[in-house]
Amino acid sequence: MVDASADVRVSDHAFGLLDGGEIPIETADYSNGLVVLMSAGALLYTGIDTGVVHVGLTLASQPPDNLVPDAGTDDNLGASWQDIVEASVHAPRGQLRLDSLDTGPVSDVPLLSPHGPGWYRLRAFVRGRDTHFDAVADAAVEEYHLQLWPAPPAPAVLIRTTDQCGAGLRSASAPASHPAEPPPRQQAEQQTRNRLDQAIRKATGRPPA
Amino acid sequence: MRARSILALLACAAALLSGVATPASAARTPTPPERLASPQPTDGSDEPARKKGTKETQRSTPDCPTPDEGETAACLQVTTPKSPFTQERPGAQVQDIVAIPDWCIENAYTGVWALRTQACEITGLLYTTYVIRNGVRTVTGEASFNVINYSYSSTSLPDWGHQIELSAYQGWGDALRASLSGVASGSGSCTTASSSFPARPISPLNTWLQGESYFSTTATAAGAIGSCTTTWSLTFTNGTYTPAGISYDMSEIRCDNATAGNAAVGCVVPWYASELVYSQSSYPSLASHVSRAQASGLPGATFDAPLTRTTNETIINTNRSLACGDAPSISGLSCDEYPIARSYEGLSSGGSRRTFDNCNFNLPQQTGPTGVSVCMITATENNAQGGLNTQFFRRERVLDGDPFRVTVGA
Repeated sequence: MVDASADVRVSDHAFGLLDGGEIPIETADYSNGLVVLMSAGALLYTGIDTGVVHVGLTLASQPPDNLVPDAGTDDNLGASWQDIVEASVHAPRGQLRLDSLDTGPVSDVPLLSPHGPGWYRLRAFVRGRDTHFDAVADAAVEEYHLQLWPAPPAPAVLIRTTDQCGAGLRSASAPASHPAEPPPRQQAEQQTRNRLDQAIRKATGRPPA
Repeated sequence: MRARSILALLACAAALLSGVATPASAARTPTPPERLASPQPTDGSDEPARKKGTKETQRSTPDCPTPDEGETAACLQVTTPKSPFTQERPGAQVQDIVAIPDWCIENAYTGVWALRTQACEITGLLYTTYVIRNGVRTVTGEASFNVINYSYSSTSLPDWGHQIELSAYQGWGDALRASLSGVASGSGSCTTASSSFPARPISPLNTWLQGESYFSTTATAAGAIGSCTTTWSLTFTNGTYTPAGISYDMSEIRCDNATAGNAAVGCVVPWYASELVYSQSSYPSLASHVSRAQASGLPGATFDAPLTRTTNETIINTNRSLACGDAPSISGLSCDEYPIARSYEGLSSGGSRRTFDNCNFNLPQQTGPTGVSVCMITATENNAQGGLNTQFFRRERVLDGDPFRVTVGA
């Protein structure tokens, strides 16, 4: 069991658990109101639009029995957490990191996919999303705890849903749409770039991408 | 801007140059093998932009030595050919060299043009041979060249290429007996990986002489950003005529290991404003807001008025607070501001707010290029926009101060 924590810079209502820094946002599924699942990695939907949140992490090899209790209570989910969601996050590259959309991977936090490429189960706890909803918060008043362990994919489970932020997001969520094809010009540009990349690799002896 | 007729002419030229039967060209008479263009122009790409401050190629003052009586000499002069670039480019003389993009050909003699990972300039060059007889300079030959100066990089490699191609399209006399060779070098944050331009005769006319070079950035440490000027130094040699030299620079490529969230070192043309596209069908409320904001005069859609990336957290926070600090609380919606908070064009640079119908703000619907527009849009789309922006900044290596465009697509 590994525990870590960090303050994370948020922008546009999110920070990421990104696989190799990729953000396949076209595949985003907002339906659980907290963990925005993508074809690789996930975003955590924050109450604040911009600023800093506090994130605690537990990396485990099995589902943790003892969750995140409030001190002195018997409630093993911790009564002060407002929303709790469990969902499966895909890390096909095995490079899952806590990632600020503004500043990139958060330093001093271990790799979140220590068991390599594949699926991880995430149990996400949050409190404080309604405090400064849609605003800027320079100090972390919004708190997350994320538990991760390797597990086959399974449907998301909404364990607790009490905050307004999550309710609003679930109400705005459309069924996950099929990602649109990039426009032809963008595809052509990508092909050109791939060709140039290959030409440079060939000439300089670097391995193919 | 170019006239339509010239565009058509250039399209013909580009078509002539195309050696591969693409669907668009399949109906044309097949090009005879000896007319095959090399390199083949690139089909389809982003829209190229001209570098600010560059313009129609100007005729340079030739630097012609004055030899003694009876002696010979040669000199070079940068020129602008009168007609559009229509020179055919027969026969592959160098294998594995990178194709010159068609947008470069179409914009010949009008300055430096670029995409995010390519920069190109076409100029004319006049090579003159002469002899001093009875104290008078007597020209013994001339050769007119097209010169294509082209650099290309990859967003995920620390190396880039700089190639040069020359061909004489008309000439006479002793000038046509010349041979040409070249060597490439770099100055700045780079090392030369390779340089190849073996000496070859310039004749017959329409022979393409090509040099290929590669450079590696030294800006590879975490947080490093480096630029480098790469130079092709060309030398014309011709019997007893004095050697004549000319240099072609490229300083358009910037490499970095400073793109947040992108672990690779990569290289781009930093002044080229890449296009960030919001899909109308995937993100209707976002697209509607951005469309109306741009239609009201706010910048971002064009090369002439792009947005400018900021990574300064104080500026971003101020932009956001001034735009959306008093946003109403409506379930399922969140406040969107345009220009985006992660640009220098936000309210921290001044200006006031505007809005539109059904945006849930009580503000004027003003027009003009300064200020920001605010609108309550679908919360999921607003969040997705953040993902799109980040994905774009990482992929295109858009650093603080770089321009970028925002458009609404299908």
